[in-house]
Amino acid sequence: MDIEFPQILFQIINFGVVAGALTYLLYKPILKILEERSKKIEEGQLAAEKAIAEQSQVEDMKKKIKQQAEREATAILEEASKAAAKNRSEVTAKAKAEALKEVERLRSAWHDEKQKSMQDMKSQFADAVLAATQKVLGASLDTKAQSKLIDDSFSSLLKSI
Amino acid sequence: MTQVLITTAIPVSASQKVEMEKSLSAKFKADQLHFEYKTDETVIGGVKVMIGSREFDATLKNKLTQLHESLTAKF
Repeated sequence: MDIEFPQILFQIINFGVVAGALTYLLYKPILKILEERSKKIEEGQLAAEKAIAEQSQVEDMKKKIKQQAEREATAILEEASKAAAKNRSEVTAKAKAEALKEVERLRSAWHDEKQKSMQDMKSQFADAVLAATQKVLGASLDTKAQSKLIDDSFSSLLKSI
Repeated sequence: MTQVLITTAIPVSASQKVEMEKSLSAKFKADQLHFEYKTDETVIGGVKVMIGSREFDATLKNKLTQLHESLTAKF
């Protein structure tokens, strides 16, 4: 078997042309596509990581907001509780004051009524005493007693003049 | 002249009038007192003397009235 150098050279050149054409037409575009795909994947990963980080931040923020809301709610409840206690205390004090005032008013009214009754009784008693005394004195004083009474009362009247 | 009105439950006797006029004239040192006498059973007893516009009441009615006022006075 003889070695045909021209044939070999032709094959080499032919291979080189085919290899060059394949490199230019196929390998480089595929490589470029692969690089772009790799870049996209990398970007996707970065975006995913970023999204995860953002989601984590959002979760943290949500947690903080929730804690803040809970603290504010607790504060509001405490404030409301204090206000309610204060209001309850004020209402109780006011009711007590009104009750005392009413008791005092009733006591005063009872006292006035009692005074009025006593005064009426005294007045009726005095009227009765006066009427009885006038009647008894008018009937019991004879001329002699009247005359003596005039003398005595005139003597005392002179002392007061 | 000063008017003197003496009120009693029964008419005063002449001796009582003399005594009253003498005493009142001495008390007021007045030369001219004109005495009048009035009988009023409602005074019950004693005597009431009005000299001019001044009144001196020593009647039983007045004493009873004072007692009544004292009893009915508010406490």
